[in-house]
Amino acid sequence: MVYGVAIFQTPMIAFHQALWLVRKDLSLHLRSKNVLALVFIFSLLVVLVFNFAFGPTPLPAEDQGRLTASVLWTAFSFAGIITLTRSIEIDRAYGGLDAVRLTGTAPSLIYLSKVVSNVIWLTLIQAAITPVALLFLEALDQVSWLSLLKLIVVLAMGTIGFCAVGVILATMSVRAGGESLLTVILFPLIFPVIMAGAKCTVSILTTSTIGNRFWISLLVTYSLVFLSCSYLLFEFVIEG
Amino acid sequence: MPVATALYVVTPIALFAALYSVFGYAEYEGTMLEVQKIFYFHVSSAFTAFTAFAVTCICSIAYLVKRCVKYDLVAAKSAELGLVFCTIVLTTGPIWARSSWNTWWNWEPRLTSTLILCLTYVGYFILRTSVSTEQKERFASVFGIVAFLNVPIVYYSVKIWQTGGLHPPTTTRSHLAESMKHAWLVSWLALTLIYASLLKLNIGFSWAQYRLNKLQARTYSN
Repeated sequence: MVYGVAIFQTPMIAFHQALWLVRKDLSLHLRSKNVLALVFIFSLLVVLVFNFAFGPTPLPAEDQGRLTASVLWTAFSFAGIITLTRSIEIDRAYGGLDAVRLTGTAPSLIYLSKVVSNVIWLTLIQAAITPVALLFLEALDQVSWLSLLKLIVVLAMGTIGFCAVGVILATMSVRAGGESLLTVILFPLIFPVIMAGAKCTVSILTTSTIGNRFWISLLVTYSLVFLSCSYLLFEFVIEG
Repeated sequence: MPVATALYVVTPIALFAALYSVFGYAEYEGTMLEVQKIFYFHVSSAFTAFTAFAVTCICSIAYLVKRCVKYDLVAAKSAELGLVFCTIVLTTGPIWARSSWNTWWNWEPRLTSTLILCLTYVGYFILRTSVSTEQKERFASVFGIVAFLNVPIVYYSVKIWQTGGLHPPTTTRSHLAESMKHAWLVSWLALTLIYASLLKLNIGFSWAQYRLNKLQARTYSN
C-alpha cells in the first residue's frame, strides 16, 4: 500500500467508524422510549416543584429570569445524568462496548462518538422541554424566537462540556454505584459549566443578549480542555 | 531512611518556629488584631492543600504510565491529607469572615473554590470505595487527573462570578508588613513539612498494609 493512501485512509476510516458509532448510539436512544419518557417527565416535575415553591405571585423580571435559569439548569443537569448513565448501561449490559472494542475501534473514538451522540440527544430533549418549561414559568411570552434559539445554543454548548466530563465519569460509575455515584462525582466538576450556562441564560431571558462574553469563552474553554483530557484518558477507563 | 529521620526532626522545629513567628514576631494588624493571626494558618493550609492535590495528580499520571501500586498509594494518601488541609481552610475561613465581614459565609472566591475542591476530592474517595480493587486504582487515577485540571477553571470562574466582571479587585497581599510576610512564609514552610512528614508516615503504613493483604491472600489461596 502506498503510504500516502494509508495516511489519507486512516482518518477517513476513523470518521466512518465514529459515524457508525454515533448512529448506533442514537438508535439505541430512540429505542429506549422509557428513558425518554422518564427524562421528559422528570424535567417537567422539576419545573412544577420550583413553580409551587415560588408561588403563583409573578416575580420581577430579573428574579423571574434567575428562577427560570435555575429551573432549566437543574432539570437539564439531572436529566443529563439519567441519560448518560442509561446510555452507558445499555452498552455494558448487552456487551455492546466489548463488541465494539473487538472490532479494533480506538477507545478515544468510542469516547468521541459517545459524546457526540449524547450531545445531539440531550440538545434535542432540551429543545423540546425548554418551551414547555418557559410556558409553565410564564416566561414564554417575554422570549422572542431569536432569544429562544440563543437559549438552545447556550444549552447545547453547556451540554458539550457536561458530556465531555460526564461520559468518562459515567463509564466509571456504571460499574459501581450508577446514577447516585455519578451525581456525587460529576457535580463538583461541572460547576463552571452550570455557572456559565446559568449566567448566559439569565442574560438572554432578561436582556435578549448573551451578556458578558467571559461566560461563553468559559463554556468553550471548559469543553476543549475536558474533551482533550478525556479523549486521552478514556482508554484507561475501558481497559480490562 | 536518613531523609525521613531528618524530616521528622525538622518538622516540629519548623512548627515551633512558625508559632513563635506568628505570635511573637509578626506585628498585630490594626483593625482585626488577634483574629488576623488566622491568616497565617488559613492561607498556608490552602497552599498546602493545593500542593497535596498536585502530588495526587502527578502520582495518578505516574500510575497510569508505570502501573506501580505505590504511585496510587501516594496519590490516595496525598488526597487524604489535602482534604484535611481543605477542612482547616473551610473552618478558619468562616471564622475570619465573621470577624472581618460580620457573616460566616460570603461566597468569597477563594473560599468557594476550596469548598468545590473539597467536594471534588470527597467524590474521589467515594469513587475509590465504590469500585473493586483493580479498577479502583485506574479509575481513581483518571479522576485524580481530571479533578486537578478543574481547579484553576473553578477558581477563575468563581472569581468572575463573585465580582461580576472581568476586573476583580486586587488582593491585599501587597499590604502585608515585612514581619507578617516572614511569619507567613515560616508558617507555610511548617505546614508543608507537616504534610510531607504525614505523607511519608501514611505511605509507610499503607504499603505495609498492602503487603500484608497480599501475603494473607496468598496464604489463604494455598
